[in-house]
Amino acid sequence: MPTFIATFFLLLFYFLIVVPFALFVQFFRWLSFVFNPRTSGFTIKHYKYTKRDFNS
Amino acid sequence: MTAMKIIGISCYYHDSAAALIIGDQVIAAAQEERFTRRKNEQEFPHHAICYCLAEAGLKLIDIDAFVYYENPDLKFKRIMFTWLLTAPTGLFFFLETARDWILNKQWVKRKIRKELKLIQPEGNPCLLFSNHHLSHAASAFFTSGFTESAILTIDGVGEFSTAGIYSGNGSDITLIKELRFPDSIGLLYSAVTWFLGFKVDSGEYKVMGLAPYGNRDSAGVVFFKKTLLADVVHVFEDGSVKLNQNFFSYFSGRCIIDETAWEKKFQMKRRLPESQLLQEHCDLALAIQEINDEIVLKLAIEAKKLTGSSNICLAGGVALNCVSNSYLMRAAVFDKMHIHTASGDAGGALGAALAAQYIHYEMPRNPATDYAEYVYSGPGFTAPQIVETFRKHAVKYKQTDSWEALFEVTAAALADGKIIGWFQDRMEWGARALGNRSILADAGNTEMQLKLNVNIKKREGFRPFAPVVTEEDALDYFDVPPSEHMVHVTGIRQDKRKDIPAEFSFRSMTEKMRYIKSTLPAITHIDFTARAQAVTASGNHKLWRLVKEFGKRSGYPVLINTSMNVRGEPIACTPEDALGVFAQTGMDYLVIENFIVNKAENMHLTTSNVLVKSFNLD
Repeated sequence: MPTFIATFFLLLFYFLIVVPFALFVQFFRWLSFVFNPRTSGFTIKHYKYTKRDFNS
Repeated sequence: MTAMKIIGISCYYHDSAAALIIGDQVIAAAQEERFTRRKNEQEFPHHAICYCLAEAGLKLIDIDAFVYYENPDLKFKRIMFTWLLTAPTGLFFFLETARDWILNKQWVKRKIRKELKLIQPEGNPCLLFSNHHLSHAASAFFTSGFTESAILTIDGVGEFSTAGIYSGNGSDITLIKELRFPDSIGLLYSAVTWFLGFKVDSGEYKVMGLAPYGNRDSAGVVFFKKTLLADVVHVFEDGSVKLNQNFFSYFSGRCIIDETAWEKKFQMKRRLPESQLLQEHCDLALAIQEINDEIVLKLAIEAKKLTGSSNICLAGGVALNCVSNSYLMRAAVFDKMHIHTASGDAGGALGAALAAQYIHYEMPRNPATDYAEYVYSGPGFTAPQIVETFRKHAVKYKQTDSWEALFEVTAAALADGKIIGWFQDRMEWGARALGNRSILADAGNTEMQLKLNVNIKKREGFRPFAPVVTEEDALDYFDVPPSEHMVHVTGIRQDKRKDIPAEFSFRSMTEKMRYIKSTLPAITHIDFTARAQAVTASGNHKLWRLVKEFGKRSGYPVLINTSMNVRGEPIACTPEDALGVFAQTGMDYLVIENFIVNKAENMHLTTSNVLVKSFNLD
């Protein structure tokens, strides 16, 4: 029974929150791909690691 | 300034490990699989941590910080990102991962604390989290001895990153560019590994060994390469890649590839595990190996362009591909190259500890620190411990009076065609046996490759054996200086090679395998390469002396050096593990320190229920 309830809530969360938000994100990714085709797979960072990067 | 005591940990995916550093010194490092005897162990490294503490004579409360090799929060963000990119078709992936993350993986911090409490209930250890690729980068750069260097990390996936170009300078590491999930060079190689019937995350090196059996420039290889590059992966000029997700399902499913799409595109069925290997399998392996070589080279050229450095450090699972490493080395883009011996996830444990030491705690780094010792940082055993093991199993043994006598007796047996288990000092750190947990045999013996594969290692017949040669004699047999730690391959010298008949490429795999290709047939792979180890007197004195002594008798100081294990088993850690390998294989002698065990006098071991174990095939 607890598994069933957990699955039910996960499904609810998926279809009410994840799917609408995902469609929104996917649309904007598609737009950005159409207007700005990639010439490299890299993401440019130039990020120097500091002690902040070691969260505890 | 007091030296900090830091333990790095990697676990919960594959290759769990722990590494202890005190100041500039790597005190101990070991993979958990060596203790639990389960290959690629992923559970919390209890045994490895206890070993690290015991080696240094410390208690858990003496440790200044424990550093986990990746960031679970970032990893969870990647999982959520995957939900967004795969919805609504990724429902099953969502249900599976959501439950797993909510119940287990999201609570890694709590879980690690709980596990540490089991080791020692007192105290509240400081727990830090590094980043997956930062740990890889640190493992290579901080052990390289370079003041500044370009750093290239490539693997399946870390948190978001799947590959990164970094610059290392003193104690600093700067990420310049990264390739992000789902585009991954490691996952592409793993996808082909799975399609060829080998296990993901452990069978990749078999694909690398199979590739030379492919017929270079044949119609098969050209077709596979063209198809992979046209439809499956787009390789940009800077070495970054874009994977066509129509061929992959790791993004949203349980399997790494869409099998139907691959079978249709490559016009062949996926090879079932353990089924017969055909020429088309070899050709596909060669195609992916050549693509991998080209990608690694392009990435290195990009790293050179971005950093201007003449040094490069490599880490991440793809850096275990010693064929690509040597392709890069031969291209001579960089003057110096350093590859961590445990460049996979296990090495992340040491990398995390070093990253915390120099980046989090901002401790001064002396690049001149000699990290050579880290290669042999696993457990070692004393004579009383060894004798106690012998007593437990009623082993008849002889002890030589001196080391010189041991080298002479062992070299004579090797020259006589015997196969020897060689167990000395501390265990190696990383995937390779470098002469402390090794099986040694005559590299000039024509029957030895088959004998070792079938009777000793019990593995696929096509797999080559690596040689060990004394460094000063290496160039008499190999065309470029071999690595001290087997991180790249070298070619057999032209004058040592035998002529290959014109119709050789049409021969069967077995015929190709059995063909005598050089004066060192047991270690010459089909493409005249070998993953040779150049042993030095200072790096591993006992092995160096033995190879030298063997050279005096045989005329060539070259031995087969393969890891002390059978298929599916982790490399031996303790004398008891070594006895286990000895008992269930056709080894003739086992040498542990200066104790010699003769199989003929100890046949009772072969039926011992304690020593003879079965392992899942890898």
